[in-house]
Formats: sequence, C-alpha cells, structure tokens
Amino acid sequence: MSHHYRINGSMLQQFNEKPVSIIGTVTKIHPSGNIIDLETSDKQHIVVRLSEHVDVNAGSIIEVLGNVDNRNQIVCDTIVTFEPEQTANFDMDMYNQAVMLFQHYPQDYLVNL
Amino acid sequence: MSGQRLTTGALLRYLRGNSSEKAILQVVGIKTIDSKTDDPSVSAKRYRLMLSDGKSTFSSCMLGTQMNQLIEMNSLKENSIVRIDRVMVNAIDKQTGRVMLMLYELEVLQSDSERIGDPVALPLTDIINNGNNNTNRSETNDNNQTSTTTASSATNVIRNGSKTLPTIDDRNNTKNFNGDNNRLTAKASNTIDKERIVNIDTLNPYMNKWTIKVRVSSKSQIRNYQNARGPGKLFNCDLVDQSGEIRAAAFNTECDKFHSLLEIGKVYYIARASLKPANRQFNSLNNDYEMTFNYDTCIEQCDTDEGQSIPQIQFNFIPISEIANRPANNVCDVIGVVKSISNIDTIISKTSQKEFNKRELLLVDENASITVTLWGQQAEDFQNSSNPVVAFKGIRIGDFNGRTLSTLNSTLISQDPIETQRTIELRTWYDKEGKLMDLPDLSKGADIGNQQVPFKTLSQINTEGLGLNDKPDYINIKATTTLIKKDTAVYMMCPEERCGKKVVDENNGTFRCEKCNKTYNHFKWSYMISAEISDSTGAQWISAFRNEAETLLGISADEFGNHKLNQNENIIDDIFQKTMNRERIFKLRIKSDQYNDEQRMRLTCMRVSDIDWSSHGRRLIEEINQIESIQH
Repeated sequence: MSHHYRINGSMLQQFNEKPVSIIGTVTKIHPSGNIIDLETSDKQHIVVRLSEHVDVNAGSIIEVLGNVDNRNQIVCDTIVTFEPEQTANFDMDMYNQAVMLFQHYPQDYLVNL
Repeated sequence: MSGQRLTTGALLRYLRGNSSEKAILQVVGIKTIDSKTDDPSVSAKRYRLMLSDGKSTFSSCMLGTQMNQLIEMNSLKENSIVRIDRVMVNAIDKQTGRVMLMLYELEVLQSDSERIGDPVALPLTDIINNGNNNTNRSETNDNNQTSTTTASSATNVIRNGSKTLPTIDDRNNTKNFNGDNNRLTAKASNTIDKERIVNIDTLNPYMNKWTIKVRVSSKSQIRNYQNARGPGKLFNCDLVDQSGEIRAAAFNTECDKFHSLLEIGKVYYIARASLKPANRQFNSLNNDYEMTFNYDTCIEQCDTDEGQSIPQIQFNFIPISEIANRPANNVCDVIGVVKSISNIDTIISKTSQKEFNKRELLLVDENASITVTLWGQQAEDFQNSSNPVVAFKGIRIGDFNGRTLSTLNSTLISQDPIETQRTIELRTWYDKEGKLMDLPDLSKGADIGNQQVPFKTLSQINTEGLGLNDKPDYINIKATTTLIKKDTAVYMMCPEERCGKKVVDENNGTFRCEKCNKTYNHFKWSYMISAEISDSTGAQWISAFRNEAETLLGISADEFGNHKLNQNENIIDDIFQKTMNRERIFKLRIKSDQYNDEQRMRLTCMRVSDIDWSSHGRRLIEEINQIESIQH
C-alpha cells in the first residue's frame, strides 16, 4: 500500500502532484462514465478522472485514491466503493475534522507505513 | 488558480447596513488578539480579519469565536476565500463613526488562493486608523486607539452625511446625533444616555458606548482580600434584563461607591463599565463575559414604573434528567413540582458539632425526579403549599446515590415563578397526569448503566489510583477481550429467586443449597465470567455476570451451560473466539477490597456495548482540542 495523504477538497492545491485519498459523495457521473463529480467532506466539489469506466451510483460514498494534477482534478487509479449499510452511519463531518487534524499534526499521523 | 469571484462593493454595502447580503470575500490579513483572563484554562483568542471584496479592504472584522478553529486548523488563512453567512455592523464609537464588522457565520469556500485584484483600503480614514490609509494590518493596534485622538475635521465630514463615509448615523438618527452633540463630546460625562439602551446579551468588550437597564438580582457582601499589590475589597452583583444576565464586580473605590447604592430587586441604568471573558471558576452565569465597574462607570436608579418590564431573575433551566449528565459540584438552574417534602430535621455536624436544619423534598418534572436538600434558613423559610412549582437558581449538584441537589447560601429559591412559562406548563402537567406518574428517580442510585461516565485507558486505572477511594469509581474503557477463564465461566446456581448461591451436585439428580438449607431437583445456570481485557496501554482482569456476561458472549447462561454439560468443546471455543475478536466499550465499576490484609482491586463489568464510531471520533477530537487549548 503506498502512502496516500488523506485530504479534503480545500487541500487539493497543497497536494499538487502528490498521491492522495479523498472520501466523498458522488454527485454526478458524466455520460462518458470516465469523469465523476465528488462532493468532499468539506462540501467542496471536485472532479475525478478515471482511466476506465467504473460502476458507481450517484449519492453513494466512495474513496478515491489517485494523484492531484495541475488542473486541480484527481487522476484516479483506485476507487473503493462501499455497501450502503457500511456507509449509512458514516459521519462525514467528523471525517472532515479528522482530515484537518492530520494536516495540523503531520508528525503524529503517519502516512508512510 | 482561484476560480472564485469576489462580490465587489460588498464591504461598503455591509458597512452601510445591508447585513443580509451573503458576500464572497477574500481574507487578506489575520491578527490574533489575546484577551487577558484570570482563568488560564480558557483560551480567550479572538481573531481580527482584514477582508477584501476585490476592490476595497476593511480591517476591522472580528471573527466569531465559535469559528476560531477554522484558523487554528489552517482552513482559514491569508488569501482564503470565504462566504459571509451572517454579519452585523457594530458601532464602536458614534462620535467618530468608527464601526466594526462582527462575523457571526462564514464558510470557507477555498482555503488556498492567490490574491485577487489589487484592493485598497476603503476611504474611511476616521473609521480605520486616523488617516493611515492602506496600513498593513500587522503594524497597527486598533485596540489602543481612543476616540479622543480623532481630528475634529474628520468628525465634521461624517456629520455632513457624506455619502462615501458610511456610519451608523447615516442610517439612523442624524437628528439625534446633532442634537445631542454637546453631551456626547463631553469626556467622562456624568449623564447616562437612555436612548441607547442595549440588551445584556449583546454586550462585548469591543463596544464603547452602551447603556443597560437592569435589575440587581443578587448582591454579595463586601469582601476584603490581600494580593501582591496589597489589600483590597470587592463585591459582586448579578444583573438581569429581558435578554439575559451578567455578573458585575466592583473593586476598592468603586466598591465603596456602588455597594450601598445598589439594592437587590431595584432597576438601574448602567453605562461605561469594562467587559472581559467570564471567569468560569467563579462565575457560572449564562454569559461569555463579566463586567467590572470602573472609574467612568455611571449608575442611575430607574423609576419603578419604568423598570417594570425588567424581569426579577433570569433562569437557565435544564431538565432534571439532564442532571445525570452533569458532574457533581457544579451548579445549575432547575424547576419542578414538589411532589413530597419532609419535615424540618435538625442534624448535628460530626465535624463542627453545630446544629443544622435541613429539609428534603422530591422534585419532579415531566421526565424524571430528584431529591433536593434545603439547608438552614432556606429549610425554615420554605412555605409548603400543596405541591408548588419551585425554581432553583444556582443549586449544587451532588452525586450521593446517583444525583441529588443541594442548596447553597447563594441559591435562589422561587415558588411559582412568574418569569417563566414553565410554571404554568408544569402546573398543568402535574395536575393532569404528573401526580400519578412514577418517574425515574435520579437519587435512587439505580441505573448506573445509563449514566455518563468518563472514558479512561487501562493504564490510567493505576496512574490515577482509581478504585482506592471510599466510593467506587465508574469508567468507560474501549478494549478487546484477550482471555476468558473457561472452566469457571458458568456455575450451577440455586433456583430460588434472589439466593444466588452455588449448589452442590449430589450426583443423584438433586442439588443442595446450603444457604437455603434445601435440596432441589433442578438448578439455574449462572454466569461468573472472569476475563482479561486489553487496550493499547495495558490489561486488566474483570468480572461479568448475568446480563452483561450474556451480552459479552452472545448466548444465554442456560445455553452455555448445556454446551458445557454436553462437552461441546468446539462450540465453546468458537463462542470465546468470537468474543475475543471484538473491540467494545466496557463500563466498569472499580473498587479495592480489603481481603485478609491484602488490597485487591475488583473490576466489575456494568455494561458492555458496541462502539459507536461517530461518538468515539468526536470524543477524541474533543480531547485533542482540550490538549491544544492548554498548550496555548
């Protein structure tokens, strides 16, 4: 497992060209199936580009692993999907606070394993 | 790359009074303002922002403290783009027209950005900084500026109602301003401006001119003290109006000046006093700030009929059931119906040999009941009409046998208070159904299972000496079961209700109970689990019985006993495996016992539950925030 930094929408710029992990809700799937709009944990909207068509449902929560390109979009290499039961009680706001904490205390939250 | 467009002209519109607009602005400067406070555990940081709308900047924007964490978590920083959701214009100084924007709610749209445009400070020399346009915010300290240093020419410009200089006057009463001009420009004036009465709940340290109309709901005696600077004296009083309450203190000269002037129950106009964050160690009133009367303070009594609209007292009731969640030794306000009351008891204190009067009453509201103890004068003065509604302000929470309430000298007791509609609500409820209901009693020690107890780690049991006091300690631990003693997991128990003793298997189909002195032909399986639980800090052995053991293992004692009889080792191992693979929350009762000169720590499981990850996460965030604030 490589070292993906957990971030939210506002942090995209900071992590330009770095491998990141973003959790969010799928808001729109482009007709081509290769581009999805994601609402991140801090209510930002970002664009995720997939290399191939992936089956995700609008409104579902997914985790995107990929790199930030210089257009502030994510080039995704892996998508993690969840069963609805698994995400039913997911506290997105708390996840967002956790993500901000990771940035605030990088020495305490290890990324490289 | 910003992609956000700022709402140009919004700053001017805000300052002109259009506070309903939700503008998108950029933060171009942040300044930290530390408030001095007596209480070191209270972080009293306040952030002042300079905002830009692309064309103009304004540097007197105060961020509401509830949003401080946006800055501390690095989400809101220089060049961040924000949307203002709720804002208010605050007049700091009516003479010069200086105003301040209070940012009550905003959302960070984009944390990182480049500077948009080349904004210049709004041409409001007398509002920002005595002629220092475009000043870099880090070089100035507005808090030290006083209105008297303003050049009179600047004041003239405002009075002419110039369109480019928004002031509060423009929007409101230019007539009032001009007419009262002489009075306002007088320094240290002795008159109180009764036109400008504000509510207690809007008071904050950044307002310069305000008047409040308040009733004194309590006043302390003058107390003498000694500190490094020598001897001194002070008194406190609590002030209420229809919007809230606030505590005020007066020291030395002001103490003498005002102590006899202020009478409890009377209404006064008060102007010009200092405000600072409330010292939570001594002040549990519902206000972020507390007041100190100083040299400039003016207090004037109000005519009785004019003061009628001011309530006698300000209550912040919590439901009786909520008291279970509050820690002991805190005070609170509560209201309920007196279901029953004892006679006056005279007890003699063991320590001081003094006589005390006390009276106990049972207070009920719609969801719970609690025992309240009245002491001394309050016990004697209490008028017992039939089941009155009684409100207590500043009554102390005790933890004897669960939760109790106990009056202090300073507790205010009000029967059938008119200030709150709870009186009528409770009266109606009680007469209709309440008197017949049997409500859960917080003072009956029952149901520790539902009470909130603190979370600890296993190592803290040793480091904090838990269980070594007279009373048992109750804590929550997030842990995994790592060992279970298999052979003694269940035992054959006497089938007699409430006996609980282990029976002897006579091996002929009968079972003897020595305690009941009877022989039975049946028995009940009962759990007596001895298990080791571990977390990242250590391990401890705990006992679990009955329901808790059943929750832990996932099957009833009866079923387990049957497996044991049938020697289903595999099934039993399976049950244990499943138990040991799960992390759970254990509510433990910890008490050390003396047993033959040896001290043994007994940890009993009161409740086992699955982890609610959302609550757990929030708890951790809260603990981290507390560590952060101490470090600051």
